[in-house]
Amino acid sequence: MKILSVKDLTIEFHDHKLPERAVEKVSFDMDEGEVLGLVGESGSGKSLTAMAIAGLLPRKRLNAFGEIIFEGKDMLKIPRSELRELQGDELSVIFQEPMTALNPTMRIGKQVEEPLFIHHKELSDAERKAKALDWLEKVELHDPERVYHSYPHELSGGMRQRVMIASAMVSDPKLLIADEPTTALDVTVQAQIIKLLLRLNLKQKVAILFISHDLSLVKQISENVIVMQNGSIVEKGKTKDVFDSPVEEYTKKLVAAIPEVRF
Amino acid sequence: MKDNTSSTEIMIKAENISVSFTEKRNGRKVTHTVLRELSFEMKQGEILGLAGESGSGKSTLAKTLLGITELQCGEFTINDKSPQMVFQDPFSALNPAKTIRFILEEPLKISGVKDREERLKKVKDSLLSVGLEEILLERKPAELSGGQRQRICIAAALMNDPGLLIADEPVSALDVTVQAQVLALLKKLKEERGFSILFISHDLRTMYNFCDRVMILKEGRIAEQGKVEELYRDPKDPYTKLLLESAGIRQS
Ligand SMILES: Nc1ncnc2c1ncn2[C@@H]1O[C@H](COP(=O)(O)OP(=O)(O)OP(=O)(O)O)[C@@H](O)[C@H]1O
Ligand SMILES: Nc1ncnc2c1ncn2[C@@H]1O[C@H](COP(=O)(O)OP(=O)(O)OP(=O)(O)O)[C@@H](O)[C@H]1O
Ligand SMILES: [Mg+2]
Ligand SMILES: [Mg+2]
Repeated sequence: MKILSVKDLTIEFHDHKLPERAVEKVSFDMDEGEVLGLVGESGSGKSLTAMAIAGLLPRKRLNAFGEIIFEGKDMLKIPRSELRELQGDELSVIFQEPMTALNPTMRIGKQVEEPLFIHHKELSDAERKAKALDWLEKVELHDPERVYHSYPHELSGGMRQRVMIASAMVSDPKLLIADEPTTALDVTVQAQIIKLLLRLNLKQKVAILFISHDLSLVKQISENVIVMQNGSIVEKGKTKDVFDSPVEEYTKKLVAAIPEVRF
Repeated sequence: MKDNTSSTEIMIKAENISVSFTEKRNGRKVTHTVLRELSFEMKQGEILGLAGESGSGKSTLAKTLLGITELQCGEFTINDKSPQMVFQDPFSALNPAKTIRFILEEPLKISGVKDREERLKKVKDSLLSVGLEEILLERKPAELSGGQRQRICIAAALMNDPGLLIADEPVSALDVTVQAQVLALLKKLKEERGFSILFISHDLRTMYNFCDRVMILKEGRIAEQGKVEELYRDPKDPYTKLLLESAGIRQS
């Protein structure tokens, strides 16, 4: 069963002299429970594509064309109120830059609980807190109680990133958009987080759009991969095939540039 | 910051640095020690890597060295008048109301480059050197991608030829091709001008190729430090071993 279908997505900005096209005719589908990798050059349009799918593009100053069908609805056209029903519930996002996504004046606990507040009003305060703490622990934060009471600036970069992951997962989404979710994590914590994502994918059938510039990570987590450059998809297919025998120039460069360690 | 003229070859000398934070939780004060009696030295012209667990205190150490975070005890000296920092979180480090042109021109104005043409040329050259295009000049930080913002921060930090660059995960948002370009630029500058870099990263592969020496931080202490080849070939500390194994660099 298809959960997401993106057709000819094109995004243009109009806030400067010349219109700038940042995403051009991007099309792909995702099945329920699929993990799809999205890699590509810095500035190639990965995050914008992700924001469009999540219904989070500003509607001013830019034009988005094409279709993004999620759960039978076109995310580019449905009213704000309907988007809010889906965001943080059926669909959630781990943002590339946690500091901009988190509210600097609100304690972490409240922020992790927020999706529950909005979408699961039946829960009691204690139940909500228990869930939030449970998730903070699941993302390998050693002292969940301290983190729960902290403000974002009191945490390290990688801790904030894990808070983002917890707040994206707390409401059991069907589609998780993870935009560079482990860039601030050391390898051991990263390995745990990847395991956690794969476990959720297996058990709860969460579909994951996994954006990353780390090819070895994408290889581990996703069966299929899309490579973007300059706003367009330049290559897609089974992750193994794409990386083992890249066809496009950019993919070749990407594979060749992986740093090696030789003693 | 003291001026230490007797040992000009040392860029940073830190002795017994301790940092802790006090927070209020449920009305009670709770103290949380982040750096514990840290001592180390960094030579001039050296690239010193700093890796370790998330939350182990790497950014806190960086900010302490730049005087942004206060230390409770210990002392340190830095042998450079205006060390620069690339912050881990590019977006909060950039003024959202200003254009990229303004952000990059500002350090030049401060250092007294009077000629407008000359400033603009330098700004454009620095953009190119980190793989960005001139079209970004009139944009604001929010109109850039994550990796583009990160490169703006690097370009801004390098604008006035600092003697010491403290770079906190400076290439974490870049794909490997751009990463290689930026690291090559830093290495070239180091060789040309002999400047020093404290390079914070969790990417142990990149670190191997880029750094002269590395320090591994765990729970606010230095678990291990040494020349990069030696430490990777023959790690002594169990946490260092675990890191290298998790990164697939060593077999367990
Ligand atoms: N408001 C805007 N106005 C004009 N161009 C924009 C705006 N926002 C983003 N862009 C441009 O759109 C392109 C795609 O940006 P996007 O954030 O999707 O890149 P990305 O693939 O996620 O890159 P990275 O890996 O660096 O995060 C970039 O070139 C960026 O400069
Ligand atoms: N202003 C602050 N107030 C209270 N605690 C803080 C503050 N700044 C940092 N900390 C705490 O200090 C510890 C170390 O944080 P730091 O940012 O130095 O870690 P890090 O090694 O850079 O981690 P990462 O790899 O995740 O970026 C964390 O437990 C963090 O919560
Ligand atoms: Mg991005
Ligand atoms: Mg940090």
